[in-house]
Amino acid sequence: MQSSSNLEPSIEGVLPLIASRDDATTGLRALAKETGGRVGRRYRAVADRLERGELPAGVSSASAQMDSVASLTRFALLNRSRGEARGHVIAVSLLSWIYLLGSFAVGTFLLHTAAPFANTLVAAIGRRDFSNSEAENAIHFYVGLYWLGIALTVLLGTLFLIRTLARPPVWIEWIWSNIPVIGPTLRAVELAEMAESIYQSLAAGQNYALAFGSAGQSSRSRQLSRWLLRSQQRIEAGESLHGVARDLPVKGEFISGVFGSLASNHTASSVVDMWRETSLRMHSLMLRRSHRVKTVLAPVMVVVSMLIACFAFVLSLGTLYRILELIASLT
Amino acid sequence: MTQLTSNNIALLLDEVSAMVSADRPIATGLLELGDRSLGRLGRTAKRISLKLQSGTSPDAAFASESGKSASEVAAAFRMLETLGTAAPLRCIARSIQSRNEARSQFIISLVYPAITLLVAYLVLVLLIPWILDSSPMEPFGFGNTNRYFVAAIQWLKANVWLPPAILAVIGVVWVCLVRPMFGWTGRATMDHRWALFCDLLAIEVEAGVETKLAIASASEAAGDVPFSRRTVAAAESLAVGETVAETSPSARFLPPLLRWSLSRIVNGRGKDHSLELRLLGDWYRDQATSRYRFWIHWFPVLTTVIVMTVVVVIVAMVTLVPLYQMLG
Repeated sequence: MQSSSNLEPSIEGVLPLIASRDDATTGLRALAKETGGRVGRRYRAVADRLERGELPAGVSSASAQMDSVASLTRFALLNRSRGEARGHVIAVSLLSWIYLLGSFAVGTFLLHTAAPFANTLVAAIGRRDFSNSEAENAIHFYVGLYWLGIALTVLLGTLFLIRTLARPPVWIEWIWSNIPVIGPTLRAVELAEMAESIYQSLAAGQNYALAFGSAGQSSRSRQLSRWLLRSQQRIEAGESLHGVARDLPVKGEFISGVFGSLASNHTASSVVDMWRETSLRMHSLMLRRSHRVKTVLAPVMVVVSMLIACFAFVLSLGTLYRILELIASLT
Repeated sequence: MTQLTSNNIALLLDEVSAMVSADRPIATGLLELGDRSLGRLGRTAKRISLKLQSGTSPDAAFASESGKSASEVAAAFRMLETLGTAAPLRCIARSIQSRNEARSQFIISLVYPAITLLVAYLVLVLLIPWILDSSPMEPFGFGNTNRYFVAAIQWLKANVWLPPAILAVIGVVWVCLVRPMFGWTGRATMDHRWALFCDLLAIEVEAGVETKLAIASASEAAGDVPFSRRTVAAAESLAVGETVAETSPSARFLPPLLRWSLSRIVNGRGKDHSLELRLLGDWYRDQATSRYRFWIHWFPVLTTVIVMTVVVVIVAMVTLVPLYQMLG
């Protein structure tokens, strides 16, 4: 599920942490062989570009705490865990959507098919009073309700596609971030990506302004990206990190506490260490949340969908049985 | 004499590593552990303690009780004697736990679909016949329009043990014939071995053991003798100047990232090798999990969806379609 659009900036971010161009190409080719698939092909493509001299490399920084192999392995591990977490959310959301749409479609079909029998058969046996009964009204009410369910599910699916395939408008982000279980997980993925990007930039010897700028450019979240790019300008204008951190759009998360503690004075190497640790913690939080998506949301959605379909089934079958009993009593 | 389960071995190694870290004699500690623990673990701890008191070396004493993990446990104790640190024991315990976890996750991923199949089958052989029998449509000739479904359900009811027997045969064929053909179980085992090798090598590199010796003892602890021989041969070919991209068949035994890392270590390039080896250990553990990620994550979900959809369609076909046909 790893998107190619967000993979490459991350690789570019880690390249300055690798000692030489040779090391970077060798490492990326080794990684490509071990990873395989689409992500492996992306690693190989970056190695090819490096060999052709299209990408900068070998700008090893004095503040880099890790060696080439360690940097690349760490990057590959975290990149895979982010891809996996995002994959869980996408797959579980997609499956839930299919369950919901399927159950509403089955329900609507059953109710639609049952409704005319109520009219025609009751009319045929001359019991007009039954056609106005609660049972028939209930069927028409539920047909409407199920159609509304289909419309809402299709709308949710469209929003989901926009959220997944592109950098969505802020209001769509807001809707998704407020959906229980899924919202916090997506937020954790974005924050983990941001923390890792900031760590890579700081480890490569860049300052906060540049680190925020490159994190802002690679972030998938429009809201977070805007804040990061605005923060870059504010830091360049001389504002403190403390002031910038106050406007962090994500409240109540672990990262907001980190920004608070980073606002105090630290040496360059301890700041890099703190961001490395922060990134690891964000990734572990993200994995916990994505695990919850899989273990909680998928079974709940199966059960809900089954209930929706079963309700329509029981309602239509009950109506038909009642009509048949009525006919049997008349004959 | 019953041998310990792998979970108990991991537990025992953790306990022993704690004793070593606290400078407590292992024999006395194991005797106390034997008094505190019930069942097989307690009995084994006492037995090992007696063996140690009678002068058996720790590696031999522990290996004799460790079943399939005997070679790695013995090698870990030899490393403990050489290095004087309990870290190799913790490493082996962690590796055993991670393999057990992977195995149990895989089994659970098969249990969930099995329960779904059982429920679906019960629906087919119990619920649907009941619906058909208690239907108020009998006076109207219900059953003529869906006679094939009704016949199928009646047949299923009469031969209730046949489908489970067919499934059992398929299961046995799968386990005995088909599963060994898929390489992923073997690759996952190798990934676990590489992870353990990296972790142990990191400990030895950190302790300043000479690289060649460290590779030999770490590979011996992580696998069997052929594994160790091939790993040492691969490392030697990297030491004589082979590049990572163009390696001999012997060096190709190593996975690419580890080959890159080892070529730097044996040629004295780079810094902080223990950190990079630890990260590589994490990487190979993750690789092992990713080999059966589909089975663990998606196989149960997809099976449930498919089985439930089939059941819903059958129930609808059996009950509603004939009704609509009759009334329509």
